[in-house]
Amino acid sequence: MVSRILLVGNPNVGKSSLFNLLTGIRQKTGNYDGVTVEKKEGKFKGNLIIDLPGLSSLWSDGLDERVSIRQILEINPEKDRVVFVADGLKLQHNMLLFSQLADMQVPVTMAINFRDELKNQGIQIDIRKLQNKISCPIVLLNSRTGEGFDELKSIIEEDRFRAPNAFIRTQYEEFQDDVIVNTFIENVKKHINTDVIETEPEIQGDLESRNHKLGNFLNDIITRTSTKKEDLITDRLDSILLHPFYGSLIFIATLFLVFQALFTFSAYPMDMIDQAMGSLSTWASETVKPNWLADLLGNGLIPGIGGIIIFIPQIAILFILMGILESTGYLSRIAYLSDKWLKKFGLSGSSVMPLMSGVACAIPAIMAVKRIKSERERLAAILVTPFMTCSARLPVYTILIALIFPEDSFFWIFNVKGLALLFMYLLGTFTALFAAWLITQFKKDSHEGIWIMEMPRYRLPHWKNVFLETLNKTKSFVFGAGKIILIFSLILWVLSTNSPKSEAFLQEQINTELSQAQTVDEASIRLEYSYAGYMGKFIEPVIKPLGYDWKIGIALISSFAAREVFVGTISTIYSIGTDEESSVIQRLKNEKNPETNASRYNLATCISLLLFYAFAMQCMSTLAIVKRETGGWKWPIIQFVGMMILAYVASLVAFQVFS
Amino acid sequence: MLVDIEKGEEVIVMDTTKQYLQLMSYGIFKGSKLTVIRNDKWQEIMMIEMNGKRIALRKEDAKPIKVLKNNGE
Repeated sequence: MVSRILLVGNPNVGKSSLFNLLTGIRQKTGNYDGVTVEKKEGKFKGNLIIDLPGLSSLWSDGLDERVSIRQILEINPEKDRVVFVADGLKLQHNMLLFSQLADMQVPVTMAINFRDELKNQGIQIDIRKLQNKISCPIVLLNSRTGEGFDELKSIIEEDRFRAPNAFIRTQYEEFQDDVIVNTFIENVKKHINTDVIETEPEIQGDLESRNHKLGNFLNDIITRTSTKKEDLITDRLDSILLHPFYGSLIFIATLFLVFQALFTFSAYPMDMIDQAMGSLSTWASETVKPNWLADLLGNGLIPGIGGIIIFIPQIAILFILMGILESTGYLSRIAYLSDKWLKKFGLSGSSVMPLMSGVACAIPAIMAVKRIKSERERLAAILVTPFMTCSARLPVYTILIALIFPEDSFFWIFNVKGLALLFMYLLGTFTALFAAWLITQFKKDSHEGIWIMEMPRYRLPHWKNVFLETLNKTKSFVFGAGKIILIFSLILWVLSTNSPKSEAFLQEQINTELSQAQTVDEASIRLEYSYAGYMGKFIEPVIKPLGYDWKIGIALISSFAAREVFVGTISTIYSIGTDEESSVIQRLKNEKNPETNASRYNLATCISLLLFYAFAMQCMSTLAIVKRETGGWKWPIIQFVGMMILAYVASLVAFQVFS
Repeated sequence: MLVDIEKGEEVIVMDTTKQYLQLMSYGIFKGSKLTVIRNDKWQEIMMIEMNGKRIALRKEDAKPIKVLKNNGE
């Protein structure tokens, strides 16, 4: 019985697509190298399938590549198998890593991917001849459509893996104690545990020997019958998309369209969800029995959960558009275009992927920095990525922007809310860049390597993958955030509807208010003297200079776990005691500052809140991943304190200036 | 040096440096023939191709790689 099947190959050869086909798991795929930075596991017919980060050779020294090398070194030829995934268009290049695996004598099947692109480019690979040369099974595959997958399945099911013919293994064979010992694996082990400089001559010797051996290896195996059509298309697109003027213009226009689309396309479904949740909340309050359950559902859970569900259309559109940019190969061009500018901030084109991924979520983005070779740049990218506007900030921004700008406000043909949102995204990006510059001024770089990045060919998006990934990410956002919001809504409802004071005391307060005014908001008085009210009031002296009251204080405290909880919290707070079926935004607009009787959510408070949420580190999961990636608490603490100070000062200045 | 090579010209890597090890991992060896496919003056990086693989490289990093043009200059 086979215990593990490892998917090994160069970066961006389609390993994750094959992993998804085998396991049915929707692992992230993309048209750039470094999509997978950690091993991923799944099951196929009782076998453990392991998707490893791409690597160029067993001598590679990137952090993600070392994850793969360690796994490869642990292979037990008796139990473990390897599916070597190769890019058919770059087979010559892929053979270097294959030759190293062959010299380890592990049972392998070679899966040559992108058979559709080989056909389009008129490239023929003589599979039989190659099979005879390397003596292990070969499958011609299209991992995106599943073509050739049945053949691979039968090889796995029948365990027809074979150790290939060795390439330069004999160079490593030594007589030790009357036995022939192969020192290749020992050398790789030594390299992975020591500094590259110590093993440099051995590595150079190995790579050059392989290059010599592989020089003409594929000459009689690959034939090209037509011109490189795909290369011509890529060249033509690059001449426009990488043009100093048009390329930059297209990049800015692309970003601009993305943010316009976020507001324009999502407006109608969001209104529908908002109305539906409002009706559901009213229905629950009026019909559910007993009364406490009606109150919990109508004023606690439904508004809290509704506060997140409403943002599904916007988040799904964001993920679809990001998926299209990734799968076409355009993201790598953005890296190419922006390298010159990023360099001024101590970063490089390698940081583009993590920073752009940070727009969706900082957690996978921080994990993706493993691809960055420079230690200084890696640390800078880890520390500044949380400034990028993640999807959790989107609901917060949307509500606050809607409070500032009236419905249907347009500047020429542009939706003003879309422009404001674009501004917030740019603010996050420039803050991240400035912070990176600051960090790289103080941190020395021990890395002496070169900056190098593969530029994939342009491909049409694989729509099924784009939609499946969007579905997967949206689900994970809704359920991930939903769980936290459900818990917080429940806690908040309990804290908001219970008071440390007696009922007699509360009645006395209501009567006192009644004697001073004709009408009083009884629910507001009860909330003020609730446990949540006392919590908000406890921090009110600290947040008052920012323009916030104790109710916003409750939302700030609860959203320290995750930013998106802010929306659920204010939905719950402003639902308590209201029977009317109005939207959250309307309820916030109606909220008055009792001292001035002016709107609580005025321009100054909203800008102050926008800046607070743009800069504050309010994500426990991100802090946990930063701790893991930096190997201690030092950097997460510096990051948390630094971001909080920046958020507080920026919000304070903004409120004082605008009020 | 590689930075002076015009687009479309074939270049041959001739020397090794410490960074050359990293290039070797990408399949670029002493004597490898590379084709420069983009070398814009306004950019600090250039794009080269080898064995169907397109690689972006900083021009300043490319400097230590001594190369000869294919006519042997």
